[in-house]
Amino acid sequence: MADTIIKQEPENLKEVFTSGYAKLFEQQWPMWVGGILFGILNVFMFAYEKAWRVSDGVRNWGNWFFNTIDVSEMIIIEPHLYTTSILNFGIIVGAMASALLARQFQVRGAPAREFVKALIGGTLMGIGSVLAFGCNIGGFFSAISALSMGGLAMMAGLMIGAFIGLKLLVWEIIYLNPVSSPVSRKKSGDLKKNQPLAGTLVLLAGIGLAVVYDDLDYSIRGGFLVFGLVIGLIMQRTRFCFVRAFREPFLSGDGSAAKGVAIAVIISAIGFSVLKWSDMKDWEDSVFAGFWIGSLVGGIIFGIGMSLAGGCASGSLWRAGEGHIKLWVALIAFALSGSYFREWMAESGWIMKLGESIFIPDLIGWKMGLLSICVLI
Amino acid sequence: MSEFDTELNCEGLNCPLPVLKTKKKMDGMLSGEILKMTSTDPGSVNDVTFWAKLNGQFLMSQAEDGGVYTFFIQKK
Repeated sequence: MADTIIKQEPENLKEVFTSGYAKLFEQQWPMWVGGILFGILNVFMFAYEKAWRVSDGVRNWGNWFFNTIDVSEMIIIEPHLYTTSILNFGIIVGAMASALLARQFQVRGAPAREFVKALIGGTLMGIGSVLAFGCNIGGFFSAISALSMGGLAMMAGLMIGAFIGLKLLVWEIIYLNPVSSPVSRKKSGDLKKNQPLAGTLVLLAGIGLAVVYDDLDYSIRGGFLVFGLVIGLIMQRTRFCFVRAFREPFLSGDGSAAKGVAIAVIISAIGFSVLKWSDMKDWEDSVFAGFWIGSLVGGIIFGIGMSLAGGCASGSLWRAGEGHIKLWVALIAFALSGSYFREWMAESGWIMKLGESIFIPDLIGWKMGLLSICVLI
Repeated sequence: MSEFDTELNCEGLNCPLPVLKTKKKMDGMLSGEILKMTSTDPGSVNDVTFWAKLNGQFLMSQAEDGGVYTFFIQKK
């Protein structure tokens, strides 16, 4: 007995480091860890500048592209100065660094039909996020945290959408011919050895870029880049997936993802409430005018889209960082359709008719509002 | 580990397709038969493990080589 106990003690520092590294980067972290971290991070971001959002940053890339090819003349903030765009960029880089550190990075192709699904899914996500004034992050996670009724309507929509999306996938497997997938397979055993080093370099480059922003007097933007890197890292390690949270209850009954998301929402709702109640933040902040038609319909469309694409807005970003080409396609479709549809909505005036912004405490007071959100989740 | 009755290639497919296709494939198999499934999505490791545990299917082995994950699952 004594022998075995002694043998379990690490013999030198290198072993301590190796086993610590394996725990951090070779094993997956539980979803609830991600839930706690994202809840806290979102509160910090809200206090720092603004709540976590994803879709307007993706749309910003679409706007920029349409402007660049002279199709449109939108007045936009350039992507390298737009905070959500910088945050998204950080998430991709952070996830890439994390995947490298875990030796999981690989450029992953996919059968042709997957790319078609990515195009459709990305397009639907672009449209849905315009209708709901945000994706699963801005329209649901941050919106509920900010005690907006629209967030609740979008949650209902996302559930319905994820359910329909799952039915579509099952239908595809049963009725369409099996995909013949001659995906080229490259042995990358040797490359993988050097991945942790590459990951460290990518991470340092990201932090270096944040320092450059800081030097150029864009400190807040640099801060968002760091937030993005951290979020990307945590998302890749926990494989944090909102699609799974909404889908698994229907598919396998696995509630771990839903629990992770619930923890994140409750923590950040409490944090946001404190910030708003103490008037450090405007009450109307992150409460959008989508209740209830825009949020509900947008949620359904977005929910179907994220199921087909295999990743929501934030999920597509970190999976793109991990090397999945399919999710790059989904992101591009998301950016272009979001940009185009938003313009059309604004020009036609429909965007004013999606609903109203309702701040839950205005209806039933602070304590009841927060309590009912926690109970509901 | 090389003996199996049915093979399923889920390479290049993302979550949740590998586990969904595995489930469909297993539904059409006889008790005791072994399925070999290959995938490239790192997320499929947890998915398949959890799904097997939940449904009482026996995950005989699971290995990774050059980014390809191989599972051997025996139907209960």
